[in-house]
Amino acid sequence: MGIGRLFDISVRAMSTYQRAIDVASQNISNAGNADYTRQKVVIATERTQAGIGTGVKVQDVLRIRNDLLDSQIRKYQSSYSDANKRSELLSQIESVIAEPSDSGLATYFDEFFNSWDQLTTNPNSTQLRTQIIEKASRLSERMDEIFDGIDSTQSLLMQEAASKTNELNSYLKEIYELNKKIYESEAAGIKASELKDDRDALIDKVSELANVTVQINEKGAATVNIGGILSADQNVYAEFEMKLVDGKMQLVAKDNPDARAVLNGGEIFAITDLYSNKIPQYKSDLEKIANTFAGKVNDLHVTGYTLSSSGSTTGIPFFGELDGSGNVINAFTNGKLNINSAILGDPSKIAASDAVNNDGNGNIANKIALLQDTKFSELSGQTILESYTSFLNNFGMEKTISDNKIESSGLVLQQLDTQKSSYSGVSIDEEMTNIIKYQKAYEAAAKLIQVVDEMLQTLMEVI
Amino acid sequence: MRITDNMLTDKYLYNQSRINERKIKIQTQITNNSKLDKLSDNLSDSLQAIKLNSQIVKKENYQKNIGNAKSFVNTTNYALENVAAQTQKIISQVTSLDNALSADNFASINESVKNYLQEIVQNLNEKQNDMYVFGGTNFTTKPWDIDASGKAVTNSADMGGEIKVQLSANIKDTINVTGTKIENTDLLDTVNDIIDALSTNTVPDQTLKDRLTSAFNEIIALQSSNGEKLNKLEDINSLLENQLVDAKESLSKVEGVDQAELVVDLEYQDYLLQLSYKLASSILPKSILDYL
Repeated sequence: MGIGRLFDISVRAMSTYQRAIDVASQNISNAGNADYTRQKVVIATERTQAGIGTGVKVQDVLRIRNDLLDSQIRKYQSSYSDANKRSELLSQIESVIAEPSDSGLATYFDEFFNSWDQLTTNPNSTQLRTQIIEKASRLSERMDEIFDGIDSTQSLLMQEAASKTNELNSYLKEIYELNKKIYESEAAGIKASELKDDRDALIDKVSELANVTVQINEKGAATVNIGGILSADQNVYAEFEMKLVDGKMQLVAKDNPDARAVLNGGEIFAITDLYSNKIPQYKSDLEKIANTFAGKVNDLHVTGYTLSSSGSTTGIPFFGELDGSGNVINAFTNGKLNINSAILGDPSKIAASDAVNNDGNGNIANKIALLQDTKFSELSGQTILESYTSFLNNFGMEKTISDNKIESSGLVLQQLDTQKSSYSGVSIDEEMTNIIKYQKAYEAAAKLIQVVDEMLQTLMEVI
Repeated sequence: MRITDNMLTDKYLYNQSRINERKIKIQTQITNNSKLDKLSDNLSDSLQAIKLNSQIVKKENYQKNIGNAKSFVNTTNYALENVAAQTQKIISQVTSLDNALSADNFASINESVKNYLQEIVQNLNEKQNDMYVFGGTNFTTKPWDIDASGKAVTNSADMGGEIKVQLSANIKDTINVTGTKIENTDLLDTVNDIIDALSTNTVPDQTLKDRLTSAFNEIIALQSSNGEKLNKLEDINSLLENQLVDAKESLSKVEGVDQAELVVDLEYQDYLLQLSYKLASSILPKSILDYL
């Protein structure tokens, strides 16, 4: 066995530890990069030759990643993003509804009915009649503001859905391109750790938008499915678009509109669900309340008589107007309660009396005031306030559930992120300790060359 | 478990964010003096607050109605009191006729009676907020008038309407004394008949005198019944007042805040925040590099 072999062992050791320091320095330089996955050098013994050791080698550079953890994080991320977006959008509606407060619809309903009640004490009072018109106008304006606010949110959802779909499409295209590079690189035996980090970060972003499932193949490429539709791998990527089908938002593949993504998480799910199901339900509930309210007030008002000063006439609706056939029309349109223009211009046209030329009779005013406590079959046997609080309850439950989900999913996500950071993150202390270890080994290998050199010198001197 | 640098910073930021969220919530509650800023702060309490608010506003409205009704009943009472006083004066005049000796006395007494009747009619035409208090629900026609001969005439054929006011959720009551009831006392016709008698220098007979006394008693009875109405209104008002106190107390329990408790909590959160700053400043910058 020749002394020269010792040089080989030393050089191999120096090369190994230099590579190890390279990896450690890569880890250290990415310590602040949240998307980075730490790499680990696997140092192994070089194969022996005839039973004699030949030194050390870098067997592999591993990318320390836990696929199960990734899958869990994406699942909770989708759930968190759904709840977060839902809560954000519902907050906009919640601030328009403004309950409980003096500007809430409940207060305006109360004030409207109470103003009729007050009229019974002085049925010919212009001041109290004007008060009824004023309270009805405020109720109408408030109702209009709420419907307007809900409509604005719904239109914004349409724009946001298109923008989020574009975002999703751009991520999928990038994932496909990275997948392709990863596949080619790994097939050529070149590690593609950094490309995988970029790709995985993009998949994480996709999980914020929609529920995603991921499968990694043997060459490191990821097959990404969104809502059951193949969305990206190393060969293809899907392009999605948002379509309105029967008034409902659907995320469909551009090249195959029949392929609809079945969403259950992510911001896009929150947007589509609110647009297609929740907001229409809220509007329908409020419309039902408004229509019943206007209808019941009108039913009584048309039977009443105006003040004698305006002819003590009857058959005048409080909301809307009469068409040619004597039917009340336009009482509630586009979220607005329309006070009869005749009444708006002349408070004496409020029909508070149930007898002709009987200005002091406030029986109709009293009956209208009592509508506040009347249960209506049109509102499932509830009063107007009860029906309105049921609506608030349904809306509030959705918001509260979203808020609670943010809390719970956020906590789980935070713990999973901690686990991921613990598993895949960089510890500067650990890396620096490794560097010292590798540096010492490198120095020792260099020293070995010096020793072997001295051995050769000794031999040379013998000759 | 490996502890990485990102774990330390992420955990620190997460905890700090939670403390700040809590601080914002406390500040909002202190500023609004209410636990309920929006529906989702506490759904069931918010809905309860809406219902309680509605009840409170309604009861306050009933109290307003009672206030208006009391004012109407008071005006009615004042008018009836005056009518009774004038009637009593007529009774004494008619009684004094027993000593009447000359035609001049008849004329003078007749003039006095006519004046008292004018006063009576004026009181019966009393208005409250542009409403004839004895005109029933017909506010357009003046109920009575005095004709050229100084006698009372009925103008309105429709004085029987009752003004009904909702005084509480279950109580709806009539607040007026109708003109029909006044007519039923027979006061005006009796006084008219007395004037007729006096105009012919005739002493009103006992029947006429009895009718007058009976009419006076009827007016007193109406006044008394009206006074009872006032007491009833007061009673309902007290009942509403008690209900209001209860409802407001319930509302206060639902949405009220304990300012002292919140301020202490805010101080505590602030203390936690400062502690986290100090811990972060001593832990986060440290690494093995400081010792190499």
